[in-house]
Amino acid sequence: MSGLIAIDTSGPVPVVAAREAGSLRYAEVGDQPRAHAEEIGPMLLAARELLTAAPAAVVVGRGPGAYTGLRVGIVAARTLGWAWDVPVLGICSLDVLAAQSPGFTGTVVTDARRGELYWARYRAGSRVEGPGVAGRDELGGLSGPVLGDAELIGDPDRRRAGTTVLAPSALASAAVLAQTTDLADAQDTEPIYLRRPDIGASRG
Amino acid sequence: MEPLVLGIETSCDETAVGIVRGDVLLSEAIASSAPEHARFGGVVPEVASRAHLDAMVPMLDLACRRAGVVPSDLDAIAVTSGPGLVGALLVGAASAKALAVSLDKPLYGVNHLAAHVAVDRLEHGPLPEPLVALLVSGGHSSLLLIPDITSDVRPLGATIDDAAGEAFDKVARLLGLPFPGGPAIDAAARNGDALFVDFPRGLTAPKDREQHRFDFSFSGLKTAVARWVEAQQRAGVSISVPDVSASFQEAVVDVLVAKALDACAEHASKDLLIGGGVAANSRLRAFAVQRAADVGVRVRVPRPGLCTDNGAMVAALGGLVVQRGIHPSALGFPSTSHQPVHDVVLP
Repeated sequence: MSGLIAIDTSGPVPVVAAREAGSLRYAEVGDQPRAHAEEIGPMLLAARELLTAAPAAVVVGRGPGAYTGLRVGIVAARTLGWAWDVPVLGICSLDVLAAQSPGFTGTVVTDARRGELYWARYRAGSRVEGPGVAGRDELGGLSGPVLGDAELIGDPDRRRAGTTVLAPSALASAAVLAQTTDLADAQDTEPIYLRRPDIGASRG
Repeated sequence: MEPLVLGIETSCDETAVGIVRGDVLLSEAIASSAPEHARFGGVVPEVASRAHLDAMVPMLDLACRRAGVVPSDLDAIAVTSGPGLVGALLVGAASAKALAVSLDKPLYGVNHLAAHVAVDRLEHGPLPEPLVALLVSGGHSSLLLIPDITSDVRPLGATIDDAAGEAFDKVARLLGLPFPGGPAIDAAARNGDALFVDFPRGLTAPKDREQHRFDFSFSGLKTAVARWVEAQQRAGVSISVPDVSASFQEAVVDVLVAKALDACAEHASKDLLIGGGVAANSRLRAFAVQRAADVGVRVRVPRPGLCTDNGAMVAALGGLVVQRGIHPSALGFPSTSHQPVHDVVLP
């Protein structure tokens, strides 16, 4: 595979990366919270301009994450794939975080708001349970290694007994996304919402 | 040759793509999530946004196939940047930005209301200037003065409470008619007596002419219909849905047409354009044509399929904007629920 563009908008800011001829050409993280659709345009342009040709594939994080931002990345990836006539490959966004710690065993968590966390459990780098959404208490106190924002886990000092708290970095996610190679079973780009829509009619 | 422009519209519950070359509509593709909203009696934003994500690329593909073009043939992309439901707008905007980047073509974030006006060039040729436009839909009720649809659109008035289409939806619910209410009331009213009940005409009293000459209000009308229906029910009198529908519809249409023609007189416009979903109402079309003829005003109303939200309207406006040499929008442009109508193209 030659070039690749990767997008993940499951977090508070968009992450975009591009790879070509085996090297990382672009890896950027947005800096305006909840402005995914504004930031993704210039980021995609910058990534595209650093490639010598249209990429051979597009990779996208499927979430879980905040719905509105998540859709921005997925629809952008699908559109790029359609326009360039190349495959679009989906990856669980929690897997991207887990891959920052090679061979990770433990729980990855991200902010699901409303006092809840998105979570998945890994053994030796492979996801063995989840993704799911749950209250902090329902996750059994999150014992063992946890990969996620320390404030979110309720251990700002990173000292909880029996717990190793690793902080993921969005920039590292970009690098992981761009290095994605094992995509044989990744044709699914459906968003991982994990929650049903809130129902309440609005004036159109 | 005139530019080949693709337009994307996702401001409410329609995922729509249209392709135009100049004044010629080449293709349209529309997926609607309206059936998913029907049981809630109104559009549910998150349901609409999820449906846009599912339908966006299939509609892009269908529009291109129907037009017999491939993406790289396109000269420019236009997309509705607002007003509308933000979560819904963002899906179209993100797709449009990705498309513009992938094809290395200019992108224009355009105003939904201006697009409702511009679409008529596909139906009736170049727009007269100046033009008065009455835009009425489930989300909007506005009167506009338009010296130049690509750069000079001036709001004259708007609803101060419910949109006209919203009033149709609410009254339909009162009368046990289905959502969306506009087509249901239009159909029921055909067998009704428009003079059966003399419902109030909002903001038409002499005192309102000073502050609200070109504004609308439909909330009081909706309440008047509700009270009338309750009074009949209390008295044990059965309600004639056709008569109440016709009387309500007449009150809405009467005010819309009177104020639109007043605007034409005030601004010396000999042309009135009616657009938006409510422009598909048969009584509004007939009444406007009849009244306008009395005062020498020509009425332009696009066919119903171009009045409701569609992608062709966005492409039609985009095409004009390209021809006038207006600078494309920056790729970081925002999508906003209340984009003012004078912002026709975002910088």
